Amino acid sequence: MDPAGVYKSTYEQDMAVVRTFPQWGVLIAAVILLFCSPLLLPNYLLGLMTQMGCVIIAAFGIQILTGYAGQVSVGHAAFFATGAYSGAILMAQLHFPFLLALVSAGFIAGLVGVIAGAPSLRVKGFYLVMGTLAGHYIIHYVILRWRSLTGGSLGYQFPAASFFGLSINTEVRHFYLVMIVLLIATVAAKNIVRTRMGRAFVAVRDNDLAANVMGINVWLVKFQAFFVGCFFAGVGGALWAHWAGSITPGLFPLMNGIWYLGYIIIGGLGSIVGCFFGVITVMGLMEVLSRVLPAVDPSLTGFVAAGTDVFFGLVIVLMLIFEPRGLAHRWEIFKSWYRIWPLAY
Amino acid sequence: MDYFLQLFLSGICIGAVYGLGAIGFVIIYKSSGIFNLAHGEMMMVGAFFGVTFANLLGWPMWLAFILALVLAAVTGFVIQFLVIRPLTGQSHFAVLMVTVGLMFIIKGGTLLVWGHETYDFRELLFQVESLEIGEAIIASEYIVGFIVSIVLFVLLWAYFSYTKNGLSMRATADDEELAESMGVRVRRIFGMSWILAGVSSAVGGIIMGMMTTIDYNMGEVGLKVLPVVVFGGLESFLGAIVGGIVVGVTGTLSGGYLDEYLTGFKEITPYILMLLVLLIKPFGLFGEKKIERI
Repeated sequence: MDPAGVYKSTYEQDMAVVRTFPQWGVLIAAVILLFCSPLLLPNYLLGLMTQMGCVIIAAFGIQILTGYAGQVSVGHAAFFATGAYSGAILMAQLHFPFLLALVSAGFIAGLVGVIAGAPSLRVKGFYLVMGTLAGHYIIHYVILRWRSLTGGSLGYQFPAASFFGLSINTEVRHFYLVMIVLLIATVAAKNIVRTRMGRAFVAVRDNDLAANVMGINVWLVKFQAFFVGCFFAGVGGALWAHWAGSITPGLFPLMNGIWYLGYIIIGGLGSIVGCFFGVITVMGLMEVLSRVLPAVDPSLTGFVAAGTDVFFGLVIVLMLIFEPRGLAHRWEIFKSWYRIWPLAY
Repeated sequence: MDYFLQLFLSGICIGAVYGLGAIGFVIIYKSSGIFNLAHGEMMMVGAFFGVTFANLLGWPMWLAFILALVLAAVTGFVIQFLVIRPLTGQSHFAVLMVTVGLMFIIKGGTLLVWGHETYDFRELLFQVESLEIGEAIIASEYIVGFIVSIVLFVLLWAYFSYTKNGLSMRATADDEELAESMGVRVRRIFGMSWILAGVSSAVGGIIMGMMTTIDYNMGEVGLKVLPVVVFGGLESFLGAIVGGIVVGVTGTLSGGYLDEYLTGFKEITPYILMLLVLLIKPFGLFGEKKIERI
């Protein structure tokens, strides 16, 4: 709901993501604040934010694939890993420049995703979950056993990128790189879901038979959804691997893939801004529980390891019972409250 | 040939236990239409209940077994009452995710209560001699597992085919509202189906625990039975048993013959098998074909 006095008189105004001057102001101020934060924050927090940025980019992918197109996938960690490994291999062995490697990593992950998503043409729902589960294990196996290419369980080094002679080797430089890509990815994701393709995703999610009858090519849409979703995962994975420096297959367990679903459940299904809420809430809380609490009292370490699982399980269950539309919905409620505050009409 | 026979027979026995795990899965799906990803964790909890009574308290195995089943039934009911019931009417995806949450809760809870230690049952559920067929030997724990799975399979099949409650459960899974309007007490049916699932998963967990060891990672076995479930079809007990045996046999055979060329390949053979089945027969070998209308 808009506050009194805001009128939309053209189609462009009605469709705009950022609608009013104050909104532009807040947005620009937030971006400036974000890019100034390395001046204030310690390296530890910057590293955490960098990681969150990579995961948010990958979470856009699962949001588009599951939240918008309704194709539930538990294989997102494997596509993330595909992007990470293909980025690293392209840079180290074929000497691609970083940005080209990043985009290629996205493309490779997208193509792998389309292949892994092939069962979606025949099945849906739970059977598709199983198909992507199989996809996860097979990708994981290939990465682990194709030693000549991926280094197997020993892992792989991601070479540091450099731009104009400036090597990305400090926490601050990683931070800027990831945040710039995150900005681009946010704009892209926000707009993909508003295109004809994005609306087709929603139509297929809500009722694929009805969508088919209305003239949507359901097969093509499912392929597109898998490609776009896994493209984001690949880009996020390559960025994350670049930040981490060295990667091993063990860094991408199935649990991470399931956690991506958790992020969008907590953040809010079918909402791009929900990815931010979900990832920041979960990863932030996890960091507090696993790092800060043991630092306060070392005797808590064992308890925390088990308690974290229980805590996040409870968070997912309670969110689903009491706020199935996620934090993004709460944010919408809050926005409509402050826009008309203090004169609610 | 003896090597083949040995692999084949142990594959059948392992497969029967996979089938046992898969049956618990099928119960939930058949009776309430819920895809329970926490099933592996429920198996683990059942095994831990059994170990607590049998090892830590030192009670006889049969008593421990029965008490563990009772506790597992209570656990199943509590899960249904606290978590599944409030979600009635929500989308399938929400219910799927809630079982993911349950998975985390049960795993963490087990870690809090029983810790990191690895446990092992001291005795089998009942004593049988190990069997020799030609040169091949089947260990007695596998025979116990095989017998228990077959018995459970026959009992459940009879329950769902011939009793009124079984019929009500199938009706509820098919169409909740329609079943309710025909006088089925849907809430009670849901409670009963989760109790049944708790019991059968505990049986699976205890039998599996007798073959291997029990620790808090055991729930991941639950993910291994998923290919079995898909292979046989989500609604079919027969499919669970047949699928279990096929997956078990291909697993041991590929482990025995392919391991020297492709290390660890047997870990993913079930999944490759499952993908092939999904592409050729999307609802599994024995599953019900869904006809959809707008």
